[in-house]
Amino acid sequence: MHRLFAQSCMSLLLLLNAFYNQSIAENLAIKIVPDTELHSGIFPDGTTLAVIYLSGMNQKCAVNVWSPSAQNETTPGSYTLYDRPGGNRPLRVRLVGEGWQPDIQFGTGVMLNDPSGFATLKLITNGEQYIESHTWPINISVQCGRN
Amino acid sequence: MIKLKTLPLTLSLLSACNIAIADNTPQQVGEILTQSADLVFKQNSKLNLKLIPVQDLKAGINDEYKIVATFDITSSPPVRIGVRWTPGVGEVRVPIVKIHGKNNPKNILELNFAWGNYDYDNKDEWHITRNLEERFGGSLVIQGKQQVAADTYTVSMDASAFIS
Repeated sequence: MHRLFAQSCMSLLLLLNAFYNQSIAENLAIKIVPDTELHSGIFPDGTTLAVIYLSGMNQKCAVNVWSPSAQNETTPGSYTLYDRPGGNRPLRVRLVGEGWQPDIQFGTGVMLNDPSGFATLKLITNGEQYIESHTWPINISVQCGRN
Repeated sequence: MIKLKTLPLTLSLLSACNIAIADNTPQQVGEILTQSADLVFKQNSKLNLKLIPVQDLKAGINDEYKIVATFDITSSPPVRIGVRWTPGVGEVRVPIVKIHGKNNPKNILELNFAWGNYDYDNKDEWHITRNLEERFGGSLVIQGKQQVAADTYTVSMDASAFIS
């Protein structure tokens, strides 16, 4: 009887743990909406270049958002984009949003604790800069961590 | 014996769970999703069109190529500049436009474009400079010697920047 009880507890614990992992991550979605009316010229600091929509997180999730192609990320979430790998057209940007903080823990990107299932953040210019007529590819990654 | 083996295992699992729950360090547990997009910064194109009628136009016989108006188009940066008669204003039969008098629609004025040394291509109703130009100017001229009745004739033309 005791043996049966002990095995049941083990099964239950493992099952709950597996369910917990799945519920944090499932339905996570990301959508990047770039501003389609950007024109070359001088951009002041904080100009919105793109809006990033996230959904599918539960409140136990600590969301980490970062750019896999970020360079010169001296402060997590503030980095330089280039027009292509090894390119010579820098575009200084940062990720911002209400409640988002530089992800010092992982050293890259920004993080948001206890999201309500839906969150937005922006990719903005980091400092005033002249941006010439060109195309910059952006990659944004998101992952849910356990809070 | 059985009791002694299984119970500590259960307790150790419970302890492990407690440690995991109590730990505040975020752990990456979900899959990584990545999405890509392009930030496209377009070239600023500023186009200005001036259409200036000639003063003191006279009714009666007007010779072919007599200038009735001039146009001046400037662009920054240089682009291929296209012009056309505005669709719906007069009867367009490229490159000629037939305009009806404002006071009497039976009065007709036929005009054509004239420009200097610009090379240009025709595309549909557009006349487009072959090269990138900062400035493109020309005239609107009488098409064929014609008797022009005294009236007001409304002329309209469009200018546009063309890429490649």
